[in-house]
Amino acid sequence: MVLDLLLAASLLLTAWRSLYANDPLQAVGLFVAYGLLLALAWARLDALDVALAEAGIGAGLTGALLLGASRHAADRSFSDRIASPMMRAFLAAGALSLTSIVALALWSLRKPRGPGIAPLVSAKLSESGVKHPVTSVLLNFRSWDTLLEIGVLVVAAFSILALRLARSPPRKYDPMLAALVRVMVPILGVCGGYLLWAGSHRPGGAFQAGALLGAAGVLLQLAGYDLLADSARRGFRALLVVGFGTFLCVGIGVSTLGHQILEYPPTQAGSLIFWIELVATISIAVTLNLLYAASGSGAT
Amino acid sequence: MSGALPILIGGPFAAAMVSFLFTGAIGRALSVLLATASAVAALATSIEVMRSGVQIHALAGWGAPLGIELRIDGLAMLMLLLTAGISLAVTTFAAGYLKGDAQPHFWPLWYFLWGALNTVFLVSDIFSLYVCLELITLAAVGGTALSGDRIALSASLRYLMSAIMGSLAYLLGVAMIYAQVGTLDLTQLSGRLGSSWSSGAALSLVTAGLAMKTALFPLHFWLPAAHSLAPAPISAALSAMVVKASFYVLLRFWFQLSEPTSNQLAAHLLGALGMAAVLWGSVQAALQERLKLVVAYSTVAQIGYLFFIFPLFGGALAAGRSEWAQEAWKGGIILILAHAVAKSAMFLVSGALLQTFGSDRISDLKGAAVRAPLTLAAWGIAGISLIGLPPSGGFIAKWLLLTTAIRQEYWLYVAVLLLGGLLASVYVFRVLWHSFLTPEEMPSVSRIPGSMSISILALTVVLLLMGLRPAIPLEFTLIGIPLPAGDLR
Repeated sequence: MVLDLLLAASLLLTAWRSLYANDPLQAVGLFVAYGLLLALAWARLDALDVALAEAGIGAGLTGALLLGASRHAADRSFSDRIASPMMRAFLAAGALSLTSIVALALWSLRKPRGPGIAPLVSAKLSESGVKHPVTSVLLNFRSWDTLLEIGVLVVAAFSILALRLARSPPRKYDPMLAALVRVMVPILGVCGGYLLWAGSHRPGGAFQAGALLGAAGVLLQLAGYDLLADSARRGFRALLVVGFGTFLCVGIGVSTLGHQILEYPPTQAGSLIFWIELVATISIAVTLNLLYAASGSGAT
Repeated sequence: MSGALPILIGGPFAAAMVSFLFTGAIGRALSVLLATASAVAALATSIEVMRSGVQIHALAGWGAPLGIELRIDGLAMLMLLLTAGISLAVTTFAAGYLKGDAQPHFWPLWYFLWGALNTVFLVSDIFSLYVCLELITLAAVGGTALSGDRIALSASLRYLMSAIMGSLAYLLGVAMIYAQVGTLDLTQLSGRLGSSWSSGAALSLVTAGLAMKTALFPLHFWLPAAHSLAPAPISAALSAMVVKASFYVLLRFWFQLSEPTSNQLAAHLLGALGMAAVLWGSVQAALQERLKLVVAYSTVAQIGYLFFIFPLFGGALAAGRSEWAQEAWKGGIILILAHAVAKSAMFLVSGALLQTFGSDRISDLKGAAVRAPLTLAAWGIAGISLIGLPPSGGFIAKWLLLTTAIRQEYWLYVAVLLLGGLLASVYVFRVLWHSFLTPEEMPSVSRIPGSMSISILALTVVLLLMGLRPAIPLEFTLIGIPLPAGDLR
């Protein structure tokens, strides 16, 4: 209880400090801290999948993207232009009134109204091909949504490539960084692989694994790997779309075998889900790296 | 369920992948083939809906509420046909319009936008609708930024921020609805929301979010810059289809999920904002110097009319006259279709004129009527539909709306419908007038590829046919729509 109160208080504190920080770097640092605390809060609420996603994508990769972008926001006039004190006050007032409306509505919903689809998910879990309910919803029961979500990442990558970004200047060789990369990249690779495999029976899965592999790629970029130089190669492009493409082909392909769209044959559901998650992880990691590469470079 | 559905869904997405990986001639031909197959599949699916009524497809074989269902009724069918038709025209136009180095970036984003538009008209699940709208938004924003200059970039960024604000409000409303009812399926939700405080808050959040994405006045601030700075084929898709996608979702919420009579006050608020949009958008359109901004502000105005459907429908039901409600419903749907065709034609005309004369300033159009008579004729026909003159789809739509407004004695809506038509004629004829002026010396023109003219002409022919044979779309607006007097076929 005390721990939870402390957690809630520090969430508010880091959020407020991040909004009113004096320079972009400090704001981003506080934002990452906020994200990690939020991940803890999700973990306390027993939502481990959300906690993993928040830590990996919400705090980790978004933080890295913001760090890259903050380089362009270094002077004060820029950050003032995007959010003047009056604009901030206006946004705060809007957010406050929205929060109170939602709080009031939630208060009127405080009595439990029935379990939603959770009992159905547990009843059908054995037919889904995986043992973890979240994965069964994401990759089988509501696979359509996940397919389109991966599509969202593909569109983001297409949009970035269409901007024709300039490459950032090469970095100087840094022996400390190089040593760190040599240690960290294999570890991140193994952890990502584990999360991907774990997704079939416990919290984990493609998005979390993709975030970790993406982090490994970001480290490689920090150490001097120039991703944008590769972005015109067909191999790179194939990696970018292989997740969405495979998922789509499977989803449409099963319909030619007399099934509904995205309906896996029951005996192959488990292995199909594994392969889809594997290629999706690759595409997610590559897309996140493209986002990171773009965040540090300027438009032509 | 027919075998056409997988092709309808998968075609444009597959085309996007192919055009991304293979930028050569073979890749382009293959992607055109895949996308065209999707349009043909849309036609095949529509024929099935006409023959045997509402089509339902349980994705992944589970069915609601565990899984997601696709449900194609008359409204969805018309929107799918519209998407297929407009997308074919845009694809044909873009092949001639875009310069060589812009093409490899354009095609993947465009085909993705096409595919995303299809999905939103298919799904019958309020969370999945959110994902579909997000996919549309991202592809649309990417398309807006295609021209790559700084102004277009900042316009597309503002578009992105506004659209995401709208999405978040929508998502919050969806979460509250799920907490109350425990299902996400539109059909199962129907009539189960009740009129509690929290359901009112949820519906308000959903409505506000979708109004932002549909650019209802005064939430339209992002639209003129985004729609006018995008490349012409993307502009056409944005104004014709993308704003209609979020409006379509709003229609689903108001007519399928909640009781249309229970919130007549909110309906009149939407109607009032719609009236303000008509007046403000039309006046602004008449004042613009650049052709594409005229067309963009005209979209702000025409979206206003769409929101008349809420008060006119609810008022008719409150008066106990379901046939008046049907008139409002049909008028609104036909207006969606007619505006989409007319507006895409107008944006394509703007693109063609820009390429012919090298400028899209209205004052530079002197002599255009002589140099590009067909293009200007297409502008005129599309304008006739926007004004609401016969024979055009716009006339049928406005006639229906006007009739039901007069019957219900909503004189303010009647006045705005008539005044809006008058104001539209100002900005339509202002362009024509400039094009008929004789310049000191005839402007030098560059010829445009035939594919551009063909797509523009095809759109105007459809527009005229809608006015001459209105019974065809009208008949289908009621299939499977649970309106009080509309039957479930």
